[in-house]
Amino acid sequence: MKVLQAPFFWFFSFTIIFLLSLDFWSWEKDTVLWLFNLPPWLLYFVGLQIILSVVMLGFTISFWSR
Amino acid sequence: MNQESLITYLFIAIYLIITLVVGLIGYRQQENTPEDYFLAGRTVNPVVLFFTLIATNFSAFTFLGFSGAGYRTGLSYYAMIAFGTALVSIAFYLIGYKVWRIGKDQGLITPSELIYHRLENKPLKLLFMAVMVIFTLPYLTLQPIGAGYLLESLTQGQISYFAGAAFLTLIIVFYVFIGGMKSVALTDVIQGILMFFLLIVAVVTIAQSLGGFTEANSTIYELKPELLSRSGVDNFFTKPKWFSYMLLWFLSVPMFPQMFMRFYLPKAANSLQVAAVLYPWVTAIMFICPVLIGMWGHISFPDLTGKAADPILPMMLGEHTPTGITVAVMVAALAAMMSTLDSQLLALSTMVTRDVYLEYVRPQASLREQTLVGRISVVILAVIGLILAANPPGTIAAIATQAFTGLAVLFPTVIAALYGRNVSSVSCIISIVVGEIGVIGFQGSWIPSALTLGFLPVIPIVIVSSVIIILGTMIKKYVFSY
Repeated sequence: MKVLQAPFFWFFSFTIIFLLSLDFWSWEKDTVLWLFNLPPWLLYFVGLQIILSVVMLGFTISFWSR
Repeated sequence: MNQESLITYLFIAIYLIITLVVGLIGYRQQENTPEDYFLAGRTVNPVVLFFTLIATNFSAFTFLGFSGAGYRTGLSYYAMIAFGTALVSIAFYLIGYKVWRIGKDQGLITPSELIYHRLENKPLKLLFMAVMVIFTLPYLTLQPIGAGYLLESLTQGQISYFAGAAFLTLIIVFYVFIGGMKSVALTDVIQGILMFFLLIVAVVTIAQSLGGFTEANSTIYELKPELLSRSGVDNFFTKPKWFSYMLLWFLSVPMFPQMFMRFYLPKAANSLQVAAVLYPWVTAIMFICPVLIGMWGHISFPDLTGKAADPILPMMLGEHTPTGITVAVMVAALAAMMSTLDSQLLALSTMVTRDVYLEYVRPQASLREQTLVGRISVVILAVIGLILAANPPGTIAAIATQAFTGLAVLFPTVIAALYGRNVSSVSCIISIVVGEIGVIGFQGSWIPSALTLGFLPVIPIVIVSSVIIILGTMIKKYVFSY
């Protein structure tokens, strides 16, 4: 896909991931406990790091390696 | 000597012997040229590069600093430090890849050599080097401080804080002295594996002792619910502060000379790619361990304040795990400190040798002489680190944040050097000087903190530094066009 070779696509993708780390919508919520009695926002950040790794893999294969 | 002490000394001895043997393997592969001594001949493969990057970046701060901060701030510290550090993987491309390519083509060894190659300004080269050295020293000091705390705690005071710090520094100096980067990179592999797996062992064992993960977190919620709150204890994180922390590590970690110089090491670009993809996994899995242990520290040690919370990890291990596991995890923590300290010593000694000795003292120095000066510098820098560690100032997290901010000032100059066209090198000098005045001013409180608008000083400082370079380059372009 041509879009995957465009620098702007990857700039946009990484910017979105960065913006997702500013999860201010969950700051005012009361603390609730979830898996292992941990708050949901913690699992959100674990997920965000996995997404970052997956996007980095895509970036490496389709853009960086070229 | 009782059985527990015997196990402790045995584990420490085995680890140190293995480290020294691996260090000696690096020495035997050495060719005694600066490129080989300082950069392992630029032949590092993906596996070694990945482990050397994590072992170098994760340090006393990871074990003691994170657990201490987990105790003081709570779980939100994990989200900040883990995701903030994961973002550094983007810099492996943005900065690392270009540095690797240019370094390989031009035979560059130090970060300041790259700055000079791109911007051709000797005062800028010297200033860049000086800032890297000055702001790496506090972080370098953290490693003997951490090692001293750990050995003292491990041996229940039989080895004093300073004796422990001095002893481990001596071991490091020995293998860095003889083997250079090859020894450092090889020991990093062992140290990286040790710290990753043993931190997981530590958190699982302590959780079991507290009744399991769910039970431990539930107890904490009953004791002090704000430890699980999004903004941390006493609303430690405000929104501007959170934004700042999300950028702080990305801006500063690649500016540490020991990280920057690792970008020169790979044989091929795929090494950096592998590291960039795996890095967020390591931060996600590894960083939760010390923060959870620190937070659970409130169950067993409820009344610690400030710096007293920094040794919470060894305290929790001593309270909740069998001696064997306690000692093994502490040895992993020692590995984390040693792997950072050895890299810092080597990086700084490289800069002293190439950017000062070769440039201003003896430009005609032979290759053999350069490696000798590098080795002597390792010893001198280790002694400086130990002297600073003799009287540790502030909490570990506070010292680290100060060092990171000072180095982040270099970020705009590096980006300008790598990507800019017709960049004004004078504007880079002004940018760094103004930035560092800002760092010292905010630190010394003679610049009102209200000027940061609630952000960490790193944000306004990096913005001002960037604007200076942009304006300087525009003015240069304007002047030349006439």
